[in-house]
Amino acid sequence: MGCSAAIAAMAAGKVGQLIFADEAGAAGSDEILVVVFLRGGCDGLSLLSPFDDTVYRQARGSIALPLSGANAPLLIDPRNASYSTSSFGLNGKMPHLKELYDGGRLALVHACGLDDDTRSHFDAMDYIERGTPGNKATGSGWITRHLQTATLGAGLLPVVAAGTEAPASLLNYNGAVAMSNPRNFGLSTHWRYNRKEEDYKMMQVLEGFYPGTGRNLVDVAGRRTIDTIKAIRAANPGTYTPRAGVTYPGGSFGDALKTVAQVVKMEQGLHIATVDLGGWDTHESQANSDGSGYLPDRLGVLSQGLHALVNDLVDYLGRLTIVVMSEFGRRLGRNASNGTDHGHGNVMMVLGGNVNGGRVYGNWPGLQDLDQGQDLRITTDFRVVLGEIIYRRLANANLGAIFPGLTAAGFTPLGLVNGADPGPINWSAALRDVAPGQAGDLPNKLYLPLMTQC
Amino acid sequence: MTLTRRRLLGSGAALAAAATVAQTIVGEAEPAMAACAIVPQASPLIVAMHRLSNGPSPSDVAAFNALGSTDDERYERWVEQQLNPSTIDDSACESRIASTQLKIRYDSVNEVRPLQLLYASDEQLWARANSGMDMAYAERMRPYDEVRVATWIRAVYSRRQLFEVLVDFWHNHFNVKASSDQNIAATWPFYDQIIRAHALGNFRTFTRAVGRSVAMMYYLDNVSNRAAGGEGGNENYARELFELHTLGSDHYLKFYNDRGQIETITVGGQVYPVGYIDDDIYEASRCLTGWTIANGRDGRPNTGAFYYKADWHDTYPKTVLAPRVMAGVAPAPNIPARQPDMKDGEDVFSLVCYHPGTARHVCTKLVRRLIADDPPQRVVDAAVEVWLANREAPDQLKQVIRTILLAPECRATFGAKMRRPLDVLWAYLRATGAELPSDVEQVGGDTSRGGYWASLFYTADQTGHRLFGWDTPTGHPDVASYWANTNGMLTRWNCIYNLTQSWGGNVQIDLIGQTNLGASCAAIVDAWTARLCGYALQPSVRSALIAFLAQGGDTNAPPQPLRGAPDWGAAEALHDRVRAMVHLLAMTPEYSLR
Repeated sequence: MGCSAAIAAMAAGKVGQLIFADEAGAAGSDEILVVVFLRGGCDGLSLLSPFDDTVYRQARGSIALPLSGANAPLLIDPRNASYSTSSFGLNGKMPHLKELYDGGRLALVHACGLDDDTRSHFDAMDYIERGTPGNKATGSGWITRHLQTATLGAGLLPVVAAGTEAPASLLNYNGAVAMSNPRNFGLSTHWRYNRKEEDYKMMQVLEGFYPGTGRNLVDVAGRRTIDTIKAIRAANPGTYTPRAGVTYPGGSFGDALKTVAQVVKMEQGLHIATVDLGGWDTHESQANSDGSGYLPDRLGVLSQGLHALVNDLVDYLGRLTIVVMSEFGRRLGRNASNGTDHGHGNVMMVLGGNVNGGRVYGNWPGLQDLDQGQDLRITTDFRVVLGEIIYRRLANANLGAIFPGLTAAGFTPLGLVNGADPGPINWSAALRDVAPGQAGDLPNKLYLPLMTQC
Repeated sequence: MTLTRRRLLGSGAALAAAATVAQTIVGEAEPAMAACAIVPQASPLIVAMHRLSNGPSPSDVAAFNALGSTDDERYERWVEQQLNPSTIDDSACESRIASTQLKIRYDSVNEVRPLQLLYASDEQLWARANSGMDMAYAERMRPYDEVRVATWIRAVYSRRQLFEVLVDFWHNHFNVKASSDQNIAATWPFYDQIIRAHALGNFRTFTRAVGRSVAMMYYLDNVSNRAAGGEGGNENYARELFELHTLGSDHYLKFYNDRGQIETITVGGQVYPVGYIDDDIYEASRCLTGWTIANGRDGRPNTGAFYYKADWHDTYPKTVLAPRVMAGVAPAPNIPARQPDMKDGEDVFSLVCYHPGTARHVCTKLVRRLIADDPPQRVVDAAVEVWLANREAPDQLKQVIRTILLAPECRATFGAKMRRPLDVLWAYLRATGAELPSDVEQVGGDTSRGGYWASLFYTADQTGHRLFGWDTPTGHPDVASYWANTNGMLTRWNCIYNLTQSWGGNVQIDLIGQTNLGASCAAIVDAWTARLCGYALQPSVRSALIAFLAQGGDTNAPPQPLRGAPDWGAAEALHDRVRAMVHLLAMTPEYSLR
């Protein structure tokens, strides 16, 4: 799209009014998807461990999880014949997730991930979050393209990145709101010229600065910020109090989950939320031989946080799906620093009220035949997991546009979630192309031109 | 250039282009990019102040203007002066650093101290890191805090502005999260000195010094990289050395071994494989086994110095970035068995730093920082040529950067980048003659107050632009698509006000004393626009600011207090309004461009 066409289209795209848009909701539009990304390469073999597999025990040596004791893995029933080569257990620090698994709220997919040979954190994240394995130049994220092809419901805050910035999965989606805390999302100024009594005089001037007509990224981001400030001002969120009995872990992860819960409960049409949790790049001193240590503690934080979110949002569980992923797993063998280097296959987790939980999905490839001779193989493409959630829970059949390169032959849903199929899957990679102002035209459906191209 | 090679490279013709730079001719600038309505016209002064400095200050603008009789002459002399920072008298800035107090408070200790550790010896710093020593966490972190304070002071007051911009670039290129480990925090002045010593120096020398530093050793774990029977060493550092510090992931071919498949290029008579594979990383990490720190463990001395632990070294032959013999025929190991101490590692630094892919990767990043998010290819090519021709020169980087800054594209481009949040804050503080804080022990007897610098850092970190605090080894992103988000916009706006509050940093700015309150509303807006921007605002933005200042009154007369709300006739209200207008000026879209 040329510059002037983009500008014209943006102008017609009503960016400024989007969050006040009132469009008819379609099936799936009131669903809430929370995407949790574990940055740094979470060790799936410590999360869901084949703990009595002899190859595992030999390769991991002193950092293999203990077979007994306080930190021994929590044995689960995979209910999947391919997982009969050894016992499987959730990390001993994850009793909260064990409870959700046993209660049918948590489904696990092992030997899953990005089917690309990269062992680079940054390439792997770029590929996954753009939804295009092998291509990190894609100009938008997979969530962006879902939003561009979905029929969104009404609401002031459809897309929230809980944190200081939006992840690449929301790349070039100008409707994404990054926020650390809804309560603090307001303009901080001297009182005199920004009072409610005079209708926020400084804010009025700012609104004039940022018409949001798509002239460049700064303009659009500024407009989005102003609209969000006004929306939050109207919703007037207070200090957040979770449901009685729910305890979030301390730190930024717990804070981000609380932000998600608060925005859900504000009932402002939240459709997608993203949360990041870092600290998984355990090259060194990953765990002690008794199963305690850094990584188990980190897994405990993850477990406690997810459990808290599910229980805090129990009233919304029927329309809530949470997916947890990382850029890759870690090497089967430990390194000389009692850590593990970058690997390949990993675990994805899916939680929610319409999840067919209490089961491990996918085929376990075993630890005899390894990728590059050293890493867990991948038997399930991450796009198949996400694609099923998008198709059956978010009711968006445009998987070709969301994951260009994925084909019907490569997409066999695992049965992770309930939900009627919303018609045949559209495998065309083309985004819906509707002229501005014509029927079907929706706001936020454009790639923004970079400033330099504008 | 063959199609095969292009396909093999994946990322396009990067390497092939590097191979042909000898034919590149520095010629006329390409036509200036079509500007958005929002983007002010570029001029050498605007570029020098807003992009190659942390924003204009009245004295630096005057100094620039005194350098010659034409724009180009002034710009070229300014570039040359800035490329030789030691020739610029910076004693005023250094005395500010020397006179600044920074609070420390823990247990029964509540003191303000000067910045004493910036130039401490390595041994003194290491003593703070030593976990065997009983020392409060705040004391261990103190060296890192002192560098943060000094960096802010230099960003705002140093006359060596280009140097500060480049130091920031290299800190991000060789990113280490300073607070991630007490050994790193305690020795942070030493890491900062490495960055400063080599910012205009030789890239191989620079990369090697970084690789041997306590900070990088602990951040990427090479400190524990040792050969171990049957088990791998620790490949964390080796991977980022290839992927981030030198060749870049555009040159990562991803397949595991089979070097016979890797095409070659010839540059300057030398043959190179076009990219690297996982096996290069594994083998390079083996070359770097035994490169560690004298941290008192396993028989090492306890000085914090670089230490080569020979009995940790893997002495078997290795193959790193060796070109194939011919198509389908893999090379023999290029790093033989049992070389002299540290020779394997030295070979690795030469192999990665001298590779033409490294020239392209790092030059592209430099041009992206110094000119535009979408780097002009011609400038990148010219920089690569200079890089390769001077790969062993002690001033290699200075020559490369000079090439970039003197390219016609550099001075003709403005607004093709977005300021990161700290760029906005520093620019605002420079333009308004702000006084950065100095801590006090207590305020009104309250010893929990008076730590203004800690408040300032907390305030600034909310923007997501965390000085020395980016988690991953990539460093902060340098493109607008990252920074243009709601949290980033809100916090950059709010910081303008918050930093001046006692709870937000206590930065002192006398906006009223620098305003002619007897001038017309229009003249006041124009005067502050000249100070902060030096270019014309969009007409609609200018009139909105004037109308705000006038509040319904005559825009060609001085502003008057309103009789009713929110002024109720108070003279002080007028001061609030002028300050709010200047804040709004810093919140314009223009002000987020560079």
